[in-house]
Amino acid sequence: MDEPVALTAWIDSALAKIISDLGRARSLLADAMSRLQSTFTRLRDQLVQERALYEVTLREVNGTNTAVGLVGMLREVLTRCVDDMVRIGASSVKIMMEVESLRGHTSKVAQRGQQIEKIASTTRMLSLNARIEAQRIGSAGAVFRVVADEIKALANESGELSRAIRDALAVQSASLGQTSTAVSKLAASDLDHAVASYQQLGETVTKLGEMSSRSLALFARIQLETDAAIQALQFEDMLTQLLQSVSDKLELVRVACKGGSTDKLAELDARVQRDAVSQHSLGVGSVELF
Amino acid sequence: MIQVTDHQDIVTIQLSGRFDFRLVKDFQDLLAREPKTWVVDLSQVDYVDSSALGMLLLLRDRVRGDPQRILLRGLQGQPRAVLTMAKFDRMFKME
Repeated sequence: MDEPVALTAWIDSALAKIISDLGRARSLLADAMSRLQSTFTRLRDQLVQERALYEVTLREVNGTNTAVGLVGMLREVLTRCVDDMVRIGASSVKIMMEVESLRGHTSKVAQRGQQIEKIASTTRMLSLNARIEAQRIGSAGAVFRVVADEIKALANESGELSRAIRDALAVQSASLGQTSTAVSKLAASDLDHAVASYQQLGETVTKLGEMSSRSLALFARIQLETDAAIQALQFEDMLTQLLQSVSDKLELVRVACKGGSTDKLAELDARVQRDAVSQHSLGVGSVELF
Repeated sequence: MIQVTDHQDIVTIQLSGRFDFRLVKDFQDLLAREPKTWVVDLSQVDYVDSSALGMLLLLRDRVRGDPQRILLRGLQGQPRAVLTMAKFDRMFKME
């Protein structure tokens, strides 16, 4: 076999192998592209679902124009709690003031009782003097003695009654004192915890707002990137066409080599020079379909 | 601690330290007065409890809710936080 024939045979065989490899590459590429496209599509769908779920959760936490969210409910509970504490404080102060007035009245009544006891004591003294005088004047004073005894008895009774009232007032005063102490404890509710809760809630809402904005922006960015990736993968057709075109052109080279003639070289060259795909990047372009 | 001055129909209540239930009796005595304007100076107060809010509300009742007749002055720190939380800034004139 002469050398040009052997070279032609080798070129033919090599081209056949290259064309076959290109076919396999095309097939592998199509498979990989298809898988990537379906993966990215699933990723985008999942992202859309997650974003929708996140937005629902955010609405439940922050509330909407028509519904109170978790934050609103917490604020409401805290507000109600504070309002109750203020109301209890006001009522307790009123009770403390009333109790204080009652204690004042009790003290005044006790003073009156002491005056009654003094009167009773003086009366007893008077009745004793009257009795002595009645005794001194003998039988003529018998009637006065009886009156003096009656006055003494009344004075004793009045004194005992007054002491009983004083004792009762002392018990009442002690009881009012205990009431005042108990109510003062109720009135002295500490509001610092409520203030701290309010501040903490405010800070949490601010943080939540910042986090939401960041998360939503991240969701949007990932979605944009995923969409761009899916769009880029749609150029797989062009790549396949390009590889097919390379195979076809190699086939033409093979035919030209086999023919050993230069008659049809101009026609073959025109077909080889033709671009199957006008695209040079993944921007907008067109595909020439064979 | 409570100090009271009465000048030209304005009663000024100067409080210091804790404004709490221990001042109820003093406040009760004060309520017997009937000035045109009450000034409650809280600039020296570092703590208020719920009874302090109750006393201020009673003072407000005393002037039949007229916000122009009570001035809460010098609020800061915990007292300001508590009174603001209880929305007293809507019921009283504050400076």
